[in-house]
Amino acid sequence: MYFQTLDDKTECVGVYKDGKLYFDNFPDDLKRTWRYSGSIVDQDIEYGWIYTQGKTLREACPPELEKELNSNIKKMEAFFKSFQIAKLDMNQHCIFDLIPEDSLASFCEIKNKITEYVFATCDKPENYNFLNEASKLLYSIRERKVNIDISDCKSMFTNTNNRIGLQKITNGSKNIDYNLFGTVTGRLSTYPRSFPILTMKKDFRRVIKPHNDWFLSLDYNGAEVRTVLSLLGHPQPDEDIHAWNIANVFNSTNHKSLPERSDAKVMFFGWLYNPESKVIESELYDRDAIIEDFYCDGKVKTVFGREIEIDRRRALSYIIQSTTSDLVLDRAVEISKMLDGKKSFVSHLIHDEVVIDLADEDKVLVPEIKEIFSNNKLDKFMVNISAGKNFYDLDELKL
Amino acid sequence: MSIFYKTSNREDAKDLYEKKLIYDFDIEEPEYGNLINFYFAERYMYGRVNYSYIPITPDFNSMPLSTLDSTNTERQDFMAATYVVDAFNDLNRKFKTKALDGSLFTGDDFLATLEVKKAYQDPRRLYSEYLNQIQDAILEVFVEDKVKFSNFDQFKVFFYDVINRISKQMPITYPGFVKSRFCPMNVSGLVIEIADISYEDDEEKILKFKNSPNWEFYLNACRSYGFWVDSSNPFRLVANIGSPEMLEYARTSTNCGFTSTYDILSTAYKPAYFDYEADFRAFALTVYNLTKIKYLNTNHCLDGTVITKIVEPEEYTLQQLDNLVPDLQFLTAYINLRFNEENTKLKDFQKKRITSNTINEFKKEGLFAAMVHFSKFISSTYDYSGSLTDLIRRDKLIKQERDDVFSDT
Repeated sequence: MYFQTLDDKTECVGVYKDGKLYFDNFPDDLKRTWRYSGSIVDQDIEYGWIYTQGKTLREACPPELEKELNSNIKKMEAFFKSFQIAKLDMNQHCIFDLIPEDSLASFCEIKNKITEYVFATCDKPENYNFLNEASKLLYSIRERKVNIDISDCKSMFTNTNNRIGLQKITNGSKNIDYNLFGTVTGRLSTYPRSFPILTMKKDFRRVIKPHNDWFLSLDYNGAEVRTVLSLLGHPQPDEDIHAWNIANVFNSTNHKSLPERSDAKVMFFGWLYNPESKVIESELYDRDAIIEDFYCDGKVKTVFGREIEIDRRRALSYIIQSTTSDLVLDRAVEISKMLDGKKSFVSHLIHDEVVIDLADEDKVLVPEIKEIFSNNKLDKFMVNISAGKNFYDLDELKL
Repeated sequence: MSIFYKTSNREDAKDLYEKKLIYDFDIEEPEYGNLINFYFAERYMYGRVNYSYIPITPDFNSMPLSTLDSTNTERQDFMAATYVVDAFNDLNRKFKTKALDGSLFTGDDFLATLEVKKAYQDPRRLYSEYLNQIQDAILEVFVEDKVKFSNFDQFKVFFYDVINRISKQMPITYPGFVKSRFCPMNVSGLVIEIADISYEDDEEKILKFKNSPNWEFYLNACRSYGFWVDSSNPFRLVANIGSPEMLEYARTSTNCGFTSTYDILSTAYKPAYFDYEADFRAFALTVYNLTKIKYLNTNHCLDGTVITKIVEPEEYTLQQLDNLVPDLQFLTAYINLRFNEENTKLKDFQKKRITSNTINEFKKEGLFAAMVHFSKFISSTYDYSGSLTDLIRRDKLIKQERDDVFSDT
């Protein structure tokens, strides 16, 4: 039942199982492997990588197998070194035709052994299904190159800093490689070789163009504040959350004059994440009640089944950030499922924002997409939606 | 068979690969910057392309050749660019002086006295020999396809089709040939070879050169006189026309007076497409004459009679060539051939645009201006298999594959 795949981008060229490599007529009974690789999409397959919460093979490897793993890695490294020296053109060769079969089998065998060890020793995470689906979405995002087009952004190159930054972007990797396990809260980060979608200068977003016709951006209005309200069992306001706070929270607190929206936002978050702060005294936002419900024995446990060890002082911020992040990722997965078979697709995620690469023919789906995003696991959140021809110039859509 | 170095290219691939690695490692001399591999990336085009990668050949009106007669007792017809000969003669004198004062090991086969074994080769002659092979290939296709024609107009339909097909594998045009690996770098007049060791025999190269007690003196002296040494064939000296030493020779040698590298490349050489149209026409006529055969033409009339006629293809003289292949027809054929030869990654619409602009240029300014115009678009090496850009791309792809395979580890 344990197997490993040999994948050439989207196509599975071989399967290793029970000590044998299969290049056609793949065997049945493929149940457990190390990690999803895009080629075999059977829903029943389980992935050891998720059991380990994102560990590498080396990290998950038991001491008795370390020597075998290292020797296999060394051997594979030697093959790649020889390909580099011989200056082989990988567009003309399949990597698995170049590496001898016995070496491939040996490499797959050690992966199988580690996978088997992981399944034997690790408990299935409570949020396994969620992580599994999220990892498949992130994989599909990774496999699609970001469309970089600088043709209408030449003016940005007159500035030296911009020029250097944009050159890095245009010459670097075009694949967004998210790390699902990069932070303890579950917020997405990216691997070092990824396209820097999370960290790039906001202006540079102008060079990112959709593969289809539009970028459609969805994010929650005051996502974390709304998460707090939902976790406390309060209904969701149908207006801007910070305007609502000014009217309902700051009004009832001892404030001589009502703050501006931007000030209210800063004051609110300053208070929310600082347990000692007494700026707001409101029964609506009962910080202790949330901690009571989701923090126990030094561990936070979110509604998504994510467990995080943390001290009580920081528990609230972890609960809110982790829950909000998972809410967004969960909705992205649902939207991706809904777009399956359509031309449009989930392009990328930035913190609380899901970005769709939308084809003209799928414009009719926008209300449905908005609806899916809005109706999350906690409640129906108010959604900001905008669209544009590049990832910078996005105009708000009133739906 | 040698254990460490290849002696011929007929050994098996694994041995050749490993032995090449050993050779490359052993021949390296990091402290001598003038020992470089001319087989790497665009370096193999050195002396055969200008700054814009347009193929060039020596222009003897501006760059005289001189004989290397004092350096070979058996053959005295070796030639190179005059300033290169002067530099080489001085280098040779240095060797003789050092041999006399005992600083050199005089029993050395090649590095005691420098004796020229090969130098300038005439690119026209090499191209003509090369075309003979191409002609044979074309003849084979004509025979296999049983192509029959009665005049040049019928012939050229097949001819253009065949040469277009061949040009995707091997160059047909003179500029394409000059830029290709079929043309040796000796055609530049900048190369002198001082041993007749087989290019395949790495063992001899190591034994006779790298292991020679005079090896370091050789490298040092070559550097002092403005020569590079080709590490893949260490008996090959290549004039470094960017070095101050060689530029001094280029400035002061008789009938030279070149003041800079740019001056040398733009004055002493001419683009290979100059006057190429005459060669192309002659080639077409040669193939026509070689492939024309008498044949029987049978016609069935409505009344049932059959008329059989012997068709004898028309004869043409050299004087008729310009009419047989008019300038515009030549230009169109040339453009198509060069696109194929350069294996360019240009999209079809880009090729169409370049072609139509070139033809417009031809209509306005004539054939020469059109050739100049076209050469600007066709000469980049970025798409070349083996160019530096291509090698970087290959390296990137291998790293990506490696990252993919090891992403889990």
